[in-house]
Amino acid sequence: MENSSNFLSGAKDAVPIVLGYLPLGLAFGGLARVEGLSPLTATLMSLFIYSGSGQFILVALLAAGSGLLAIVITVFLVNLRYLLLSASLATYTRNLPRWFLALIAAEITDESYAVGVTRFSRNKPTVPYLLGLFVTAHLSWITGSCLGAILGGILGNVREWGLDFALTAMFICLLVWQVTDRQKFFVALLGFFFYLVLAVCNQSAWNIIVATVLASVGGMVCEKWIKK
Amino acid sequence: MREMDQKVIYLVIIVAVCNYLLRMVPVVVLSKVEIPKPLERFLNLTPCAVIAVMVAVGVFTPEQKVDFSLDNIYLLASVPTLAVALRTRSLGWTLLAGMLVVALLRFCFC
Repeated sequence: MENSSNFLSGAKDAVPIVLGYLPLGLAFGGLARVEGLSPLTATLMSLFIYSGSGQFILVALLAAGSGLLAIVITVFLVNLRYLLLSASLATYTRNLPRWFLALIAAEITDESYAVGVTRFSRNKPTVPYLLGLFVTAHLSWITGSCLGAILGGILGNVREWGLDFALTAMFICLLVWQVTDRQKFFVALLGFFFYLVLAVCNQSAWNIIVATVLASVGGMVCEKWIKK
Repeated sequence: MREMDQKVIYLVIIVAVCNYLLRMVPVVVLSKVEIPKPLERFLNLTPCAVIAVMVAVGVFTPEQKVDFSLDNIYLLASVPTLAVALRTRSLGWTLLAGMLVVALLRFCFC
């Protein structure tokens, strides 16, 4: 049994996230620079906001000349799913001190959450492991955006390396790990189905969270029939 | 210019605080109170649901709009990537396969 409670194993688990965040961060920094933000501003955004989708939308809306309130509300809606991720994380973290949870909560993203819970289904989370996983991922995001903003558009197209698919490939593998029984398989199918239906109908910021809730509830409702 | 800078600073502060509260409140509160059974069953299924939805986001809506066509490189690449994930159950091999296939598809067709 490998030791999976120390800082290093957390950092190691973050490697696939880093592979996705570095190029994504470069792209974000490049975009921010093109839209007239300074490298310092772009880096501060990645430090304090730390949300890929949120930051891209923020910069796009800013460039489009949207008002302060409109931007805040839109980004809030896009990031509403953090509520759900955070609540779900709570089912694994009862053994950890509250002050640490309050601190580390700032580091929750789709990717770090997904890697984390996959690990926690086998090993209880520890403080050093969480630090290793979350801080490594965040540092790569900050580094990527800072470099991207400094280099501006000079850097060639990172897409040529297939790096733009890194995060999706990671989610595909995590999904394979998640689907351990028929109920979870059903939930995954529902997630696909609801998201696609919603996405075909509209391009709302609510789609991700609504599809997630519907799929989870669907799985609960069908528990009796599927498990027997 | 000055006005723009100020607006951006306010924005970063407000959005950062909102994001932090969204992430912090549930995990801190729910870690210490008894979670009702139905909510716990719901939260047990959310990881699987979120990850499935994120796969769908990356595969079907790379440019915001739903793209079922064979021009969608991500959709094509997801098939061999899934196969490698099922076969190896290894994150490393899955990443490598996914990126390689996307790079190859682009090289051949774009």
